[in-house]
Amino acid sequence: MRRLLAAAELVAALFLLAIALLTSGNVVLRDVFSYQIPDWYDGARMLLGIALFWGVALATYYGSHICVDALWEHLDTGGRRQLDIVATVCTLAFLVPLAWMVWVKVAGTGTQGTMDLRMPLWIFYSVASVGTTVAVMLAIARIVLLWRGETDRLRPPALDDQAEATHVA
Amino acid sequence: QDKPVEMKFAHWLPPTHSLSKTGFEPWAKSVEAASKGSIKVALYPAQQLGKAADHYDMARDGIADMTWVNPGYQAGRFPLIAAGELPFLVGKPGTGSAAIDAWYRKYAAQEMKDVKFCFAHLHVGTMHSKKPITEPSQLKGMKIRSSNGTNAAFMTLLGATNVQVSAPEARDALDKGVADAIAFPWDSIVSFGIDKAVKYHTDMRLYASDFVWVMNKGWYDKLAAGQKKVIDDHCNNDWAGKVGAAWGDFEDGGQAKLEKSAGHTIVKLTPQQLDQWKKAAEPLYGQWVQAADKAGFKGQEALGELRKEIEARKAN
Amino acid sequence: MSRDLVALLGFLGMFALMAVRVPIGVSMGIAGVCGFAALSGWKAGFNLLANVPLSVVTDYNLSVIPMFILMGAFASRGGMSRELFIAGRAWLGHLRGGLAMASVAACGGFAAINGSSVATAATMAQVALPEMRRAGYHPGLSAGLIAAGGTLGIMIPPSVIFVLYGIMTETDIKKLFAAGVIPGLLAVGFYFIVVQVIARMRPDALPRGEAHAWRERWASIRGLWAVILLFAFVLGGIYGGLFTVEEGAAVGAAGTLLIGILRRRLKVPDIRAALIDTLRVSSAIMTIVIGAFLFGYFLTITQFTQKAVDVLVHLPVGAYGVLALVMVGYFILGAVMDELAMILLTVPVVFPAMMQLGFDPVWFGVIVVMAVTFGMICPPVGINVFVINSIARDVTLGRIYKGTMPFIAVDVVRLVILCAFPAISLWLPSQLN
Ligand code: NA
Ligand code: NA
Repeated sequence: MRRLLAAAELVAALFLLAIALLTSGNVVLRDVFSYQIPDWYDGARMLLGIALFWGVALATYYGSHICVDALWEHLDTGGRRQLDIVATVCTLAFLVPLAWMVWVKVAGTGTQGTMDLRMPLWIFYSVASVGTTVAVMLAIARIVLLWRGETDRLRPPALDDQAEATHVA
Repeated sequence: QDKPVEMKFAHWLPPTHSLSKTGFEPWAKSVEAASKGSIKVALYPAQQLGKAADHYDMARDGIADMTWVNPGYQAGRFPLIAAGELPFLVGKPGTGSAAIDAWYRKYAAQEMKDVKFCFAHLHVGTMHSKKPITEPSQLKGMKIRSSNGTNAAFMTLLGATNVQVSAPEARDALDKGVADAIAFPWDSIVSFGIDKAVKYHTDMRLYASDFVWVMNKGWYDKLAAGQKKVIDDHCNNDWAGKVGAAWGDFEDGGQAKLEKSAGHTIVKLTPQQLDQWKKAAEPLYGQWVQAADKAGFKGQEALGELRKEIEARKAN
Repeated sequence: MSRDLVALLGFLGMFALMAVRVPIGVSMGIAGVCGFAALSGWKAGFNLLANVPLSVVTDYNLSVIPMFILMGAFASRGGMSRELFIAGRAWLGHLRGGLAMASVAACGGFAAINGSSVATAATMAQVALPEMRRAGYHPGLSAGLIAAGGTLGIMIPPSVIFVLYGIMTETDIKKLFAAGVIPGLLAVGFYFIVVQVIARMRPDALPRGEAHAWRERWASIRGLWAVILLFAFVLGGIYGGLFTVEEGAAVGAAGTLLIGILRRRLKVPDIRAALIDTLRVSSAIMTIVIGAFLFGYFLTITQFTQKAVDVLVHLPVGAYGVLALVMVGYFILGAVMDELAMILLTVPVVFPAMMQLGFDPVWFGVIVVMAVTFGMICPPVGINVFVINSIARDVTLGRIYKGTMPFIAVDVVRLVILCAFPAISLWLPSQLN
C-alpha cells in the first residue's frame, strides 16, 4: 500500500515536470523555429488536472491539507484522533458526491477533443476522475486507520533531510 | 397573474461590454415587460457563476437558468454549429445571424439536446497585424492569437503558430512580440486598446464566431403557459437577427473608427488575393463535412442548406 | 428561507466545519454546495461538483502556481539559497547585526526566483538560521526576522498571491509583478533599519560577525550568476515578449532544473524530492482554490456579494475610511485565518468596492499582498512562524512571535506609506508601456 501510494505520488509529480518541459519546449520551438508542439496547451492543462486530482487524493490520506488547528492543538492525542475521524468523515461526505459527479461529467464529455489533434478529452478526464475515486477510498482507509490508532501508517513518506513543512503559498 | 419567477442568466463578458448593452440588457428588459414583471431576469456577468467554457453545462445542470454559450470553446463537442465559424461563409453579422439561427433551429434539438435552445447569432472579424497582410502565404511562421478552434485550424493550415493569451492580455502580447497578429472583431480592437499595438487591418471577413443562448429545460417546463409564450416570443429568429445586427454592426463600426484614426491602415485586397484566401480555406469546409457526417448528420446537405439561408438573406 | 439567512448559515456552517479541522477547502466546498442546493435545488448543487473542480484544476492560468513553486524548490535544492546567504554574509557580515542583514538580503534574492512566502521562510530558516544561532544571535529575534523576510517571497516577483489576485480580478499580472518590486525593496530597507536599531540597543542580541576579505566578497558575487541569470531570463523574457507569464513560470522551473543538473547540484533524488514537494504544496493550495470557487458561486446567487459591495461603498467614512476599515478587517482575519482562503473569499467583495471608490486595481493588489503578509507572521495563526518553528524545534512559537513584532511594526509603517504614496507601487508598472 505505502509503496503503491508513493509510486502514484511520484507519477503525479512527474506530470508537473512534464508540464514544465512541454511548455518550455514549445516556447523554444516557437521563438526559434516558428513551430509549435501540437496540443501543448491542452496537453499541459490535462497533465495539470490529473496531477492535482491525484495530489488531492494523497493529501487526503496523509492529512496534509491546510486546516485550522486552533481546537485540535488543545486536545490530547486521543482527542486529536477523534477530531481527525470527525473531520475525515466530513471530508468523505464531500468526496463521495464529488467523485460521482466527476464521473457524470466524464460521461457527458462526448466528442469533445483537444484543440489541435482532437484527442478525446474523456480519456484525460477519466484518469483525473480515477484520482477522485481513489480519494474516496483513501479517505475511508484513513478513517479506518485513525479508528484503529495506526496513525503511523498515515505519515507521508519523508523526502530527505530537508524539512517537510513547506505548505501553502 | 402568473407566479413570479426569476431567471438566472449567466454570461462571461464584463457588464460594460457592448453585447451587454446591445443584447443581454434589452432582451432582459423586454422579457420583464412582456411578462408584466412575472419573469425577473437577473444577469450574472463576468463568469460569476462559472468559467466561460462551462456555460453550456451550467444551463443543462441548472446552475443558471439561461446562459450565453460559445460552442467553439469546447472543440469537437458541437460539430454542426461549427459551420458558422467557417471562413468567408458569412459577411454580414445581422442577416448572417438570422441565417445561422434559421438553419440551426432544425438541428438544435439533436445537437444541443440537453438544453432548450433559444437562438443563435454570430459576429464576424478579421486579421489585425503589425505588418500589412494581403496574401495567405505571408502567415507562414507568424505567431497568431486566433479567435476560435476553426480559426486556429486555419492558421495552422497556413503554417502559422497559435499563441494562447486571454483577450485582456492580447494587447501586451502583441506589443512585446509574443504575437504578431490577432484575429478579432473590429470594434473590440479599439475597446480592448489593441489598436495601440496593431496598425494594419486587412479588409476581409476572415472568420466568424457563433454563439447560442440556451435554457435549462426544467426551468422552462415549470413556467406557466403565459410565461412560456413570453419566452418563446423572445427565443425566435427575430431576436437572433436583432441581437446579431445590434452587436455585429457595432463591432463592424470599429472599421470606420480605425480608418479615421491616424496611423491606422485598412489593407484592401484585390479580388485575386481574396480568391487565394478563399482557396486556402477550402480544406476546412471538407473537414467540417467530415466531422458533421461522423456526428450522424448529412454534412454536404446541411452545408448546402446553410448556404441557401445565407444567400436568401444576402448575408455573404 | 431568505437569501440573507441562507448566506449567513453558509458562513456559519463553513466556519463550524473548519473548527473541527475539516480541511479549509473542503469546508468551503461543503458549505458552497449545500448553500447552492438550498437555493437552487440539489441537482444544481451537485452539478457544481461536476463542473467546478475539474474546471479549476485544468485551468492553464493556474499552472503558474505549481510552476513558480517548482522553480523555488529546484533553486533551493540546487543550493542557490545558500549562495545568496553566503554573498550577503561576505558583504554585510562584519557590520552590526551583519548576519541578520545578510539573511534579509538573501530572503529578497530568493524571493526573486520563487513565488511563495512560506517557501522563502522555510528555505532561509534552513540556510541562515543555523548560521545566525552559531554566531550567538538571539534565537527568537533571528527566527522572527526570517518569518518577516519570508514575506518578501510574495511581494517581490514572481508571486503566487499576485497571480491569484490577477486571475480573480482580471488585472494584468505583469503590472502586478512590477508593482511589487519597489515595495519589496522598501521592505528590505525597513528591515535593515530595524536590525540596526536593535543591534544598537542590544548589541549582545545581534552581534557583529567576522569581516571577509575582498577576494572572498568578489568570489561570493560570482557564485550568484545562476540566480541573476534566472531572474533576468524569466522576468526579462516575460517583459521582453519571449513568453507569457504562464509560460515564463514553466520556463523558469525548467531553466532552474537545467542549471542544477549542469552544475551537478541536482541529482535524481533531489529532483524527485523537489517535484513531490511541489505536488504536495500545490495540491494543498488548489483544494482551497476549488473550495473558494464553490463557496463563491453560492455567495453570488445569494446576492450577498453585491449587497456587501453596496454597503462598503456607501459607508459614510470616505474612500480612505473604507480602505482603513478593510485593512483592519484583513489584519484581524489574517491573524486567525488562512491567508489564501481569506483572499479568495474577500476579494470578490472588496475589489469591486475599491474600484467603485476610485482606487487603482494594481495598487490595491500590492495592498492585498501587504494584508497577506501581516496574516502570515501575526499571532495566533502565522503560517511562516509555524513553518520556522517546525524547522527550529527548540525555538518556541511565543519567542518567534515576539521576534516578529518589530518587523510587524515597520510593516504597518510601510503600509501607511504605500497607501499615502500610490506612486511607489505604480511608478514601475507605468514605465512598462
Ligand atoms: Na517572489
Ligand atoms: Na494568520
